[in-house]
Amino acid sequence: MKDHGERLLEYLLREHFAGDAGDAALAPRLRRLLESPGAPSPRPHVRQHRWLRQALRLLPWVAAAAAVAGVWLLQRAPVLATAERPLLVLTADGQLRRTQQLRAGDLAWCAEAGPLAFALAAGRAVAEPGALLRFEPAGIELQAGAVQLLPGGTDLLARCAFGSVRAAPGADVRLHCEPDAPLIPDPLEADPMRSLALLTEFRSRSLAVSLAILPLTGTAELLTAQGRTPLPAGQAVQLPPPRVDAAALARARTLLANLRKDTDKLDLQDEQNLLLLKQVDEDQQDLTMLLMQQPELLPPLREGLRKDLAAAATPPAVVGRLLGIAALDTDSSALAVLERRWPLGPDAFDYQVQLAMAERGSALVRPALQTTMQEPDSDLAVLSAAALALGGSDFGKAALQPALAIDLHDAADDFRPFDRRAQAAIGMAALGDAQALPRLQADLRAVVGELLERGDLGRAAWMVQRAAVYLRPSPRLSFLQQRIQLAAPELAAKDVAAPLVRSWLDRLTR
Amino acid sequence: MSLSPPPAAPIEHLVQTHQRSLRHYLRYLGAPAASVDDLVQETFLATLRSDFTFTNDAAAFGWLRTVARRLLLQQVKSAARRGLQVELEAAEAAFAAHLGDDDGEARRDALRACLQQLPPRQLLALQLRYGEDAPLQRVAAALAVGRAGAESLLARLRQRLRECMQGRLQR
Repeated sequence: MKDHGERLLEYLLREHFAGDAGDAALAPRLRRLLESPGAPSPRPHVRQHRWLRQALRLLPWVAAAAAVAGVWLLQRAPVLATAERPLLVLTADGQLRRTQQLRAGDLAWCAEAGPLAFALAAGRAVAEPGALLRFEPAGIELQAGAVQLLPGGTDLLARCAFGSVRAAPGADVRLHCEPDAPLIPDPLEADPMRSLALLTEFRSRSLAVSLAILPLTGTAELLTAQGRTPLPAGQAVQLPPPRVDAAALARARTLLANLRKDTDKLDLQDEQNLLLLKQVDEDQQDLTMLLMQQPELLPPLREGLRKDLAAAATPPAVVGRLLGIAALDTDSSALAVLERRWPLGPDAFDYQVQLAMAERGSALVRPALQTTMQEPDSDLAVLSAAALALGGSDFGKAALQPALAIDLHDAADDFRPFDRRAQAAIGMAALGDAQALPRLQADLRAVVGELLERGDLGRAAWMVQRAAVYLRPSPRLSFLQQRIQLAAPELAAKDVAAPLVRSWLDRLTR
Repeated sequence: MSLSPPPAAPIEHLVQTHQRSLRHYLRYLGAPAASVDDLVQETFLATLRSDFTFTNDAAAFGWLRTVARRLLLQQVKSAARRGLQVELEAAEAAFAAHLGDDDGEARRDALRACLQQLPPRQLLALQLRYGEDAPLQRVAAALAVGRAGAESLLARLRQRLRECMQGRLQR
């Protein structure tokens, strides 16, 4: 038998951890039992209507609390999924709670012994015990463990590190995402953590994952940076983690260190520093391009960025530069780092960083982006509205709809109307307009076809190159110029050939 | 046990103040989880039907503990009752010492401070086991370890908490 000290500790632990485990009906039940035949009647020491009077006294407070709760509920992000049973959830604002309702950015840990089903707008996802899921407006992000996708009326999208799987209605697809770091750090050897941020440590350690896909029935496709791959039913696919290029990683680390060091030294009042400023800008551009080309370099940099951005002592100028790098990371932990930094100084977040956060569903930057939409026909209005739409907000729908009517023939001499049309199509597609992207593809095919027939290779090539960004699976709108440069550099060559343009056009519009 | 007079304190107050502590106390004494609710109700009922007179909450909790121990004893077969009675009285003595002069508040503070030092996984294990009364199998599944691993983790955690609390209480 346990000694008394041990049992007293358990008593204290129950007292500490158990919520209000009391039975609210016990007092009335006791009263009835005492009043039952054979039992003496209790003395009427409880005055009549005492509870009613107390309740009436509390009524104004209850009404005020209800009003506050109402405002809070209205401001909360919409529910994206409902779990069949309550489970442990790390919310986007860092709170740990048990709930059934999942919102954008929530990280759900299926810690029970059996499978757990989630009802989503696009169907159902059934998670195996141990699975770690993050909920996004576009679908789910599987961070670890196994999940079964059962789409309902529309496609269901599941992301896992370097690949996404799109399952069509009626399909049954199993995914298994294996982190290379243990899901949970060793409990007793780990340093004490004051925060309840459930898996921050795990995610900062997790460098890469391997993804196994088994489509049992129906249609599914794998979406990676290289393009779309159909997944035949019954054929398992195993994707190993991408190999990190050691030389590229060393280069990235050097650029990042230079960025920190040189930005800190910069004194913009001193003209002598203009050369250094140019160097810092070039370093940032090089690093941005490197990380966009090789996103597998981001996880090893993640922890350093997190620490710098969490430290109050980091100079504001350095913070601004680092935010631009952290915003390239699509991992949910990176978004959480940005969101934690936001309250300390929103001014440090430039427009591209705001776009990156908005398109991933962050509600924090929405008011800032909405101010860029005051001129509804401007380029920025459509871009902001489209990024908001990718993140699940329909605030800018009114700015997107007119841009859908832009004729691509009129855009052949100016890429800005072309971009507005494409961005509007992406945004409207994210908001549920199933025809927006097919119409863009058809128009693109027609206009580029005409340009090629006329021998206007230059115009045809730039149009297709920009379309390569907009029509890729899971498009992103932040850091657009860099994305366009990287999307299909061969199309920007002076001696670009018509067959190459046609080949790209076919790939983008089939 | 006398059936009169009726209680001197409102039933609601007595239940609201002591119900949770009484449940935890019965678990501390070793009462099976399945019978705790019945025992709590019987304890209150027996108290309210007795000549109990409310003076203050500390005395009321002492009264309730005595009744709860007797009721727990009544559930056991007579042959084993004597040994259990000795055990229960020893447990009560330890419990009363734990409450001390401050109703156990110093220990609660020490526990809270020690819990703050634990990483999330360990807190989860404690939350499941003691907050939700989860069986070891469920704790093990949640931690992605075997049953023995969960048991071992909880034991090491309790040991660590005891040492931490002891250190804090001796300061």
